Amino acid sequence: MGKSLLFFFKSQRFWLSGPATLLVSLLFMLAMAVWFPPGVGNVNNIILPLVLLPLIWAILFFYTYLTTNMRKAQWLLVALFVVNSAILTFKFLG
Amino acid sequence: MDQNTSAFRSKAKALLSLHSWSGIVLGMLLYAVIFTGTVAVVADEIGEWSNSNYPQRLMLTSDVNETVKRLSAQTPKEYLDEISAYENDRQQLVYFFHTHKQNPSGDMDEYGVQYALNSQGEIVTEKTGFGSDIYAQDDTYALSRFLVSIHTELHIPSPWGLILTGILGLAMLIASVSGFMMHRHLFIDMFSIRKQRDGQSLKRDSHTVAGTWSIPFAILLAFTGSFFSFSTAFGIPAMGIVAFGGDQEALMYAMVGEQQNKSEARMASANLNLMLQDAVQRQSAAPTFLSISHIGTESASVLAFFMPNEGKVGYEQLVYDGTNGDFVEYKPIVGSVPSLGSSILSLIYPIHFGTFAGLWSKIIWISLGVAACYVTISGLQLYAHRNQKNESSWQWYSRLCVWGFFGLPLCSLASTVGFFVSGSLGTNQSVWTQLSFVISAALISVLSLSIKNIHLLKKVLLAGNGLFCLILPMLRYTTSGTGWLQALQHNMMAMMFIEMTLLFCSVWCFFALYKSMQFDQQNINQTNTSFSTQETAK
Repeated sequence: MGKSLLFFFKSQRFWLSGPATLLVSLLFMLAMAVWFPPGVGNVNNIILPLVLLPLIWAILFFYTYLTTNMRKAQWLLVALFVVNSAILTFKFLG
Repeated sequence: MDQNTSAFRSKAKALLSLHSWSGIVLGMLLYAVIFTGTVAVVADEIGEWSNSNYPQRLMLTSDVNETVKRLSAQTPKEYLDEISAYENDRQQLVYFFHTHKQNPSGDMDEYGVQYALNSQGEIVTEKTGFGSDIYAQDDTYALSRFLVSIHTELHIPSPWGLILTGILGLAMLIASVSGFMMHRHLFIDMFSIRKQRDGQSLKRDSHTVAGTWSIPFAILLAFTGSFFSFSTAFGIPAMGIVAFGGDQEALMYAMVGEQQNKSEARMASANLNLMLQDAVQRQSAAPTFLSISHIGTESASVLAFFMPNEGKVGYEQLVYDGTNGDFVEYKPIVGSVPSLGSSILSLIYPIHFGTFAGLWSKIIWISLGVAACYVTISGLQLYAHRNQKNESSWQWYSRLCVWGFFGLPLCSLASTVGFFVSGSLGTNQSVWTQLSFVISAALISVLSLSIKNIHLLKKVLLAGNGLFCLILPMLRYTTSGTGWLQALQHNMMAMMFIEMTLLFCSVWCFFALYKSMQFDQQNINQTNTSFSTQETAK
């Protein structure tokens, strides 16, 4: 059990599917509040990202967990991280 | 074996490992959330049952306009911003005159005076404070509130409890989606309990069948549940920071759909009874609650909230102009005008709570909730059994499973006993409901550690559940004096439903106990027969 647990934490897939996916999903949700059209009710950009958070997380999680091409998954997460961080930075500092 | 088959097998293996681990790591907590969620589906009915309530539709039979006028005159002016009114489960009409301000936790809250009036219009209780505190100490909802709170927060301080239940929702999503992806023969698996199987093989088949049937339900509930947890814990304030630059008040007004600057110029308000009558006529039902804003001013408005009506899925909110009594609009659940966000939200609520077709949809939701509980239990038991065969140190896991699976319902039933007994003794029901749960949890833990034979422990806890389910209707009757005849005469459906469910559960527990004892007897007989055959052969 101890050895398998250590192996768990050494696994690159664990970090990619776990913390990295969670961080990117949260950033995606927050950035959506900036670019998603608020609509006539001025609430779509708040409600839709919140509703979609579990869905975005699940898609990214299953993709990173099942993919055989780890490098591709890594780059996808990096790209999403950079794009969403840039949107949020622009919103607060731009 | 070609490359495609090998890739498929490795993916199937990875999915199986994911399915198992998501269940093993968070399985016990997930069971607690699913079980209490199944109970929470009928939280309103439990509220009515625990108070032996006969809804009197006081909002329609009493003079709301006159009462509001009378109470307004004796209430400090700063609390006249908003008045909410609803009928509680003790045949009282509750009026909460309040304003909005930050509570000691830093959250925006309602603050003011709450009056509870009996059917004759006399004030029974008067409390001043924050809305969240008044509700948390209200004995009327002590039992239903306690059970719902286990489901939503596991009684862990905010926001950590909500974050944990959100994570459990995601774990449920992983377990259900991986379970779905693993199935190569989904439709066959829906019916594939092999008759010739028994023991663990039968359990594996039953796990697959129950899991396959409840997959769509589990995915929907996990998805909507994690949305509720995360959005309440941090999602909405975080989105407010991004979309409104941290202006929480602007966010609240955008969500509630109210103008920020209202005119406070004095102006007589229209008759509330006439607006109520119109709302009832439009919806053919009594409103669940009323919200009267800025009464006696130019910007007075009245909102009547209705639970899903016959043939409709979502909640309905009717808004009236408080100055002339004219009907203004059907207000969306969020925002001021209908939008995609409000349509999605108005679907999410009934889907998660199972309120879209009255008691029938609730019965379906309970059945699927029970199936989901069974899937969690059987999954963990299968894992415990597999490891127990290899290592004797894994016996603690089987013990933990019995403690959790049979202990949680027993603790919930014990908290109900605490609610009734403390009510009849005139002590604080909110405190004793929780204390009874904790005391019974401690006793069950001691019992689980002291009874060495797991099968015996299981039987003792099963018998305890059956006994408590049987005595609760009697206890309710002795404390309230409301019998079944009276309940049937007054069409108290909620009360009868809970009572029947408890009796059904009691019968099921004793039947399971009987079957288990019969099985043990068969095993003893078989062992004796094989022993005597061996003796004869010698």
